[in-house]
Amino acid sequence: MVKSTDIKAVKGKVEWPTSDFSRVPYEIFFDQDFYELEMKQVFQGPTWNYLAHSCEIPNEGDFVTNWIGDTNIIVNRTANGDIHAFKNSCSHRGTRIVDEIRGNSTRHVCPYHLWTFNLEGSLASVPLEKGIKGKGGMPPCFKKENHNLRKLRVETIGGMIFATFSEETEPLVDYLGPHCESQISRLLDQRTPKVTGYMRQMIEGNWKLYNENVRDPYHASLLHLFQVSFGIQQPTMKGGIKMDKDTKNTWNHSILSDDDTTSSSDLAAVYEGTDKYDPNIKLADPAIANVPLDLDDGYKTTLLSMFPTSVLAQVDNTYAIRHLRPKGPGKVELNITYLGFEEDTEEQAFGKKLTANFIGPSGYISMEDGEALRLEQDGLKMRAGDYSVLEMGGIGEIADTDYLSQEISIRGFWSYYHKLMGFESQ
Amino acid sequence: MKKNDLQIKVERFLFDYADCLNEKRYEDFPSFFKEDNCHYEVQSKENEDLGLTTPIMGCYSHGMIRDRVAQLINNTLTYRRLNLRHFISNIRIDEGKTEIDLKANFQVMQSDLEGVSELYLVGRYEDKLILDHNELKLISKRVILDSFAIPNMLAVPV
Ligand code: FES
Ligand SMILES: [Fe+2]
Repeated sequence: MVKSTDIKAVKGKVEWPTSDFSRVPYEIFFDQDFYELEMKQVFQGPTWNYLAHSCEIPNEGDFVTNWIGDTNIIVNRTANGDIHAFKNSCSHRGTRIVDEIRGNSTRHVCPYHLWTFNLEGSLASVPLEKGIKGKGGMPPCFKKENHNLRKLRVETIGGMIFATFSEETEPLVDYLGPHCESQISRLLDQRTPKVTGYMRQMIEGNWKLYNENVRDPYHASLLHLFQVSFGIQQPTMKGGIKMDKDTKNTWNHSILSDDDTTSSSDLAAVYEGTDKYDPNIKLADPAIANVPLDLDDGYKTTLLSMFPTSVLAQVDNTYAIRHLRPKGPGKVELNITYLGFEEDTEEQAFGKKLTANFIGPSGYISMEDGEALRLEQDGLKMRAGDYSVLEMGGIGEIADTDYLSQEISIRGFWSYYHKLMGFESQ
Repeated sequence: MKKNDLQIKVERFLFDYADCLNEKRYEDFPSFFKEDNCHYEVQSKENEDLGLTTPIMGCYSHGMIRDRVAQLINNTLTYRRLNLRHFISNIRIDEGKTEIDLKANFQVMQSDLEGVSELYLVGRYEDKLILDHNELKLISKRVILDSFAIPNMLAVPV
């Protein structure tokens, strides 16, 4: 862990040469010191972090364990329906208490000396607290109420459960902003979500590279040729990005209407000189591309990126919550919770099974991101002292756009990250 | 066919299947499946145990199986060039009236272009085969992954 006296020295390792964040120092992606500082400033700091969807813990005692940065958290439901979250580390000698990903339990018992915690994370009992026959036991000054698990603040929106370590964090809706609020409601409140599958992908890249990736519609039609060929996202498509007041959260969306479908000869011009675009590509079985959208509001993709590690995504007719678990500066695990709805007809449910092929580690649309980030991490490690370039869509002011080929929302991410990490007071 | 002969035939079928993938002959991959009736699914052990049905890869027609390898054949996909090698073991068959149930374990090692090898995937196959003019064809292949935290990506069938 970084000592506070060293924090200044760590931050002094890099410079941010432009105030519009069109240059980002490469060390931020591979230096262990920055990673450790992030665990403190970002993940233990005033941020809301996704833990689970409430449909995963419908009953009393249902729990899920998940990660906020490097910290494992238990989130569970109590008898009165409330949701509580606390650190999965015993208040006695630090042991991990729950060693499962999900389950049901009326209490949490530490395996080592059987200290028992209730569903609010409070210490309920200590074996041999009073000793045996007047011998041993805890000293009179030992008070159970001083030894609860580290509890987190919890709030939910659209069933998504978020937690924060900090008392300073503003209310969740203010933190997320109006676009997140309305899109979460559009995607999750109109029907009753249910989990139909999980996917996990180990990406050999820094967790912030993934944050850049989901705020980067510029790459969507260039790296992911599958979705260009089948009209899910094209470089000429309508759409845009909108951010919250801090520019940390992005709503990135594209809309396809019949009149702006690009002709394949126009598209061929965009990809001229590359061998990626094949205008003759056709699906042998087009069923996968013909699944109708559940919602008739015309959005082909909606990507809500919520600082620091969560994404709610509608890509074509797929609905998923993505969550990042950083595993050191060079690695991040992407956890995807794939959603259906209780109201889905059999046909709609099968449609979602087909479109699952678009996303995840084997997704026609998204699998290439894992590879792009691996290559990016591999390449940028050689560039200490240098900076990445974020100029697409314009430099200077960080503002919403009504076009897609831009990196402005990536600069928005850095602007907030820079502040949260305390670089400003450098 | 005698049980022992069928066992040998099925093993040979699996090893040919593995070679097709190891040697990157993706255009041959669909021919292991029965054209008018076949499924191919890659699922995580996590989902399988929870009864969740969304697959990692799901092809529910011969056309979808051909589409799974199309981007690999026409080279429009950005993915890591690795050499993969399948090791298949614990092969056992149960012969039904019309179908042969096949279970096997597998392990796939990956070797990068500089020759560094590591474990890529571990899991099991749950297949259904039929004899079509004395040739084995898959009508259903389910690949269930113990290692469902997929390293990097899974671009090729397993
Ligand atoms: S470490 Fe948990 S009870 Fe002792
Ligand atoms: Fe992408």
